[in-house]
Amino acid sequence: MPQNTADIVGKAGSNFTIAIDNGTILSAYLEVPNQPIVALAISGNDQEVTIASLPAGDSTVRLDLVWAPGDSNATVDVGTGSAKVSNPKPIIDDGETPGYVELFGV
Amino acid sequence: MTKTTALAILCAILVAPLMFGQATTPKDVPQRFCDHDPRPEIRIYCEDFVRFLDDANERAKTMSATEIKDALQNDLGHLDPSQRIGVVKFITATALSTVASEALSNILQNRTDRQLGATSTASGTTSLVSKAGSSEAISLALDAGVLTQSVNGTTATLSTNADQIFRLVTGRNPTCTVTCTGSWFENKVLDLTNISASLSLAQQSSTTTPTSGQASGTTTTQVSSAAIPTGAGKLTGIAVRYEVLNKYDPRSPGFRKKWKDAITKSSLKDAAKAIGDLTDKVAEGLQASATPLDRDKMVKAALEDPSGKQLANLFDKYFSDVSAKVQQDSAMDSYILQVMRSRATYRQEWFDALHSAAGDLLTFDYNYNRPLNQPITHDFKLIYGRDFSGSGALTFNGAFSLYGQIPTGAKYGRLRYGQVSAEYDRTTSGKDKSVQTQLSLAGYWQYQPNPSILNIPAGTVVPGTTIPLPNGTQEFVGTAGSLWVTQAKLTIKTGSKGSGGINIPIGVSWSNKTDLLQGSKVGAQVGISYNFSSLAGIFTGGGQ
Repeated sequence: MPQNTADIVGKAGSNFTIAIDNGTILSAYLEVPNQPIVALAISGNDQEVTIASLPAGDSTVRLDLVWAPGDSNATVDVGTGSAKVSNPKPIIDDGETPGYVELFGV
Repeated sequence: MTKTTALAILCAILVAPLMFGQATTPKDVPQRFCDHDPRPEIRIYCEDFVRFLDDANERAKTMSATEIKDALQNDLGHLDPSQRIGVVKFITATALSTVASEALSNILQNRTDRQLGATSTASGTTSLVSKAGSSEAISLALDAGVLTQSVNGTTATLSTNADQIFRLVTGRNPTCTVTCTGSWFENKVLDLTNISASLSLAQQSSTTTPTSGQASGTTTTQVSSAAIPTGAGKLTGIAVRYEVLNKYDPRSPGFRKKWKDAITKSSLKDAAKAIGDLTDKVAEGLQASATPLDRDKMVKAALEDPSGKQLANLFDKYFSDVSAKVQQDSAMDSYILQVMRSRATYRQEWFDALHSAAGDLLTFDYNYNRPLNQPITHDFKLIYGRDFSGSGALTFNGAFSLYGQIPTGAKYGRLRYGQVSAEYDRTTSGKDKSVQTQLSLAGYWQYQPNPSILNIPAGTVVPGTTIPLPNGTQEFVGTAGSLWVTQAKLTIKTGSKGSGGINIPIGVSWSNKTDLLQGSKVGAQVGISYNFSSLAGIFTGGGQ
């Protein structure tokens, strides 16, 4: 996955949070090719996960979600930290689980 | 009661709750070019097409095609199964276009408020009190025993949710939750309506046919007709039930808090993780084998034809190629089926959480009954359930039964009986155990103004004589007044967290009389119900 198709791009090793504005995160994982998946800490009313150290190159965040009645699509954003989210911001369709966010560490 | 009257009452039952009931979350979605496309994959990806099409044509005012492609990577990613964000819908579309029936998967057996078997008035039943919930997929229940009736029977009950069948037949996603949008009829009627048919397996049915002459023997007696068996079972009843959730405002803080509490207590987290783990496996396979989406062609198609038809046709060709490749890989095919199965479990958990958050269930139930050698009846029932979470669940029934037809000169009225009943259910084993047990205690009171009616079949003779009784004769049997029944029942549920698909209820009951006989009776009931959580397995041989 090239850098220009990633949802969030940041400096390798950087710390930031990924936030969604709809849906509830039940569990979240960081998936790096050829490495074991790592569970991520959830915060922010169950709508934010923390990337403690962005891996270099491609990685993916998997969000196991539940959607409440009345929820609409979730917009993905960077909550805190210096990573950059794509423009327009990525969308996770309502009702979908898992939701994936593709990362790239430079 | 005429058929027209029965139909009118049924319609009234279905329509009345609409004034104060609520379905799930009906949304007002405007019609889009792909909403009613005959190709399931186009309907599944419809929202993504529309978003990409709108974004691309908006940007075309100021951007080149290459710039649009770069700007809309996320939109295009949703359509590209070689990328993780494109995998979730690919699984749905592939499953629907190949083994759609698997999407009917539902795990219902860990609910205490689901009516899977025959209701209390059937000749073969293990249930004294009807539950408010119903099967949302397809379930088959076999019950043997007797509660309020004198005739022991064995009944098979086939139940289904009307909207699940409708979605399966029309090729739309049956595992949807918040996105289960449809027409008013779907949201307000089909989605909340469950239908079941009960077949008595113990009854022989026969038909009379003319004979064409003696085949052997020397008897001089002419035999003009003979009875031949036409089946071992007989339809004994059709039930239609309509469930109503309490009204709720999904945006209200009160409901949001209840929703949070409900999902915390539910198994949704485990169910979502199972979906995620399996989806990862499909994604890994697709990343290795799927041809990436030709994004330049997609942008070109979107700009050349803003109606979206060209885009849909181009994507359909691409999807078909990738899907065909995946289906040749048995491991991938298996993972896709497993994802659909997991989604069905998740869906059931989701609706359980919604019912828990929204509050108590109210159910209207209509039964058309054809008991053996008794008049046809129309039974109307109101069912109210209240779940006390860890402390068990209470279910109340109130019902009345009307005779279908009153013959001329009858010495009884239209009303057959009125009844009230209650049941308390509590899971007695741990919720995390693979085999769960549930204890149920129930009480039932029925009052009938007249004794029961027994039809005397044609050919019946006066006892001790050869004098035939006239066809159509009816006799009073049993007694008028109160009928009391109490029951204690243990239900064994198998599988993960008791949701493996098989329920075995074992019960004992005491009644002061039965509908046709006087004197108290102690009875036993046993049954088995199976939920077709893997219907595709039946069709494809790949199920569990």
